[in-house]
Amino acid sequence: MSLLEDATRSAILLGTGQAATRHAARMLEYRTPLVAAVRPGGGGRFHGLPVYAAVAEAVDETGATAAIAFLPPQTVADALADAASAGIRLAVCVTEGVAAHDTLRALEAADGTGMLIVGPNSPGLALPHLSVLLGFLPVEMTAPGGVAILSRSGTLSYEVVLALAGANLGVSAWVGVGGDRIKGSTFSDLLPLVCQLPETEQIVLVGEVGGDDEERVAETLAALELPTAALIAGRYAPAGVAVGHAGAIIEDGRGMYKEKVAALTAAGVAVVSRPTDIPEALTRQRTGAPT
Amino acid sequence: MQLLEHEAKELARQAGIRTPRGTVAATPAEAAAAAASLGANVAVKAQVAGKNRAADGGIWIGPAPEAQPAAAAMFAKTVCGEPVRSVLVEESVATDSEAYLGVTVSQRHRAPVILFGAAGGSGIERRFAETGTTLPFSPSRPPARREIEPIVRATCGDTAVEPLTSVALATTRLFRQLRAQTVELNPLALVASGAPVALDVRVVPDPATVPPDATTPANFDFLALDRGGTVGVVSTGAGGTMLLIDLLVEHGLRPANFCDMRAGSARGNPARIQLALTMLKPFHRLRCIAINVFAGITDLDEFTTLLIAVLRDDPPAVPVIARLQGRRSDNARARLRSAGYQAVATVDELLAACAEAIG
Repeated sequence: MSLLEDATRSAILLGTGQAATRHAARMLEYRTPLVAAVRPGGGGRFHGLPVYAAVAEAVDETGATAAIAFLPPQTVADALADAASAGIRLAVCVTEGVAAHDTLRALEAADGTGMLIVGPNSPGLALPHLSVLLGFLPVEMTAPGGVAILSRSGTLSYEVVLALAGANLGVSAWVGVGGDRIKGSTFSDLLPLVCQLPETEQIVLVGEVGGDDEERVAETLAALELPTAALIAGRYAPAGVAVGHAGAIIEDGRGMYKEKVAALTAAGVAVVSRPTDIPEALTRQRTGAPT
Repeated sequence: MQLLEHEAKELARQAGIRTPRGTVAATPAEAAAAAASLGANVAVKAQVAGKNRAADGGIWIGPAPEAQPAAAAMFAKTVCGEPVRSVLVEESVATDSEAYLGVTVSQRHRAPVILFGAAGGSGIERRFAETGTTLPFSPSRPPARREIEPIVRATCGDTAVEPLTSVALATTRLFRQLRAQTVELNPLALVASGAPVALDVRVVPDPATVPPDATTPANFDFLALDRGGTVGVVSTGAGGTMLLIDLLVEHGLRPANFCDMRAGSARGNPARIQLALTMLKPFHRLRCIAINVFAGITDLDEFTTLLIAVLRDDPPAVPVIARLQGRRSDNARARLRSAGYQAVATVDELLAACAEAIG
């Protein structure tokens, strides 16, 4: 069974501040299995959920295995490390502006216990067949279906999901890996996990210039034989500058658009230039029609 | 984005790393005064953030009496796209050999790493691939001397192991103290007497650790792309904005800028929309402004109210076309049209409308 399915049967909220308040109602409305919240001091209820003072306590009491962190950049890395120690297996982090040194500490802790981090700077993770929303993805736009989307950009993933909905294509998994340079999980980490979901039949990658996430996943995609389409943003972005996302930076001639397109195309992926071209690209991939 | 060389060298000195003697000069006369006490030969180096200053004439080495005209020439030019406002005048250091030492957050290793190369200077990427060693270390615990020595030996041989290891430890301490993305000593010169000397120091801060500008609100990204651009871009979402810019270029239109105003967290405050439009005013060749908002969970009603108020309050000099999509977007578009502005639903329509506005 996919870690995504297994770990998300029971989830806790880290943080009960403004951001958590904004998004908790939507996650609960989607019927996400949230069982507790954690905030310093604990006590009382948050959207009907018991509030604990520490993640270890919350896990002991509820057996939760997933977490969604709505905490500020100064404290979230420590919270993720605590979650790892407490036995959480999957943590989604929406926080933007986490210092890379802090992300690295959180990753070290997570690697030590085998916890998967999605993010930081992620809009979240959604599994429509399982009614799981961890984050703030606009799941109202979609329905359960067979397309797994892995995206470095929140907004572009919304555009893709809208285009898929227009072609009556629903989603099996929708994962924002985030826009940071150092990510908890990359395309390569998540691809096998979304493929293990029984409903996944097609893959869409939304990438950007900078880094080598796309190049690294290309090999796995070649072996996969699932219809796959990709969109890469930043073709005309200036080199040497982080364009919006800290991770979208062409450094020392690496992370350029044409290399990503070449690697993905060589792996048999249909690379398109706009979200509205995705459904047709997937159809061509499915039917084996010439591109 | 990185610190200026002289700023980076000041931090390096505070960390116990040796640098050439030198002074920052803001005028040719100051450069002459600085050069007078630095020995027979000096270096004059443009203080701009850029990777290859030498290629643009930003590094000069010669006799001290010639420092003033060399500095004057440098102040008159741009180096790495920046006007030169200050130069660093340094003693010219006699070196035995040069190495490369860097400490950086490695995306590939998902860890901080120490990079040691037996050859320094420009073209370091190629040389490092041939001669360098990488030592990943734990973000929670800096490497100990006994962990660093082997890679120094493996890279640079047995001479100067102790001083090179000491510099590596100091550089790693500085990297961790600054929570920097990169601290780089390149070239790191081995000299006849004393500790190795960092001839150039590059410090790249982590953008997440840099406080937002006093004049710019947090969560607002604006980047000038093309001063002669014809389409002003006001958008939300980094990836969506990047793609809009790609599509504008592909359509032969000239986007003037990148702007991600993060409409999602405006919360009743028009400041970000106002700021975006204000920052577009100096772009004198604009023929239209393209506003692009795909609302995931953003309240488009609130955004539309703010947008109409901002546009009425300070009407832009060029046509504004807004692409609004997502939750309750048909209502938002209808309201915007009633207010007399162009509103479209798709990016393709936005591109077509921009093309028409430009004519």
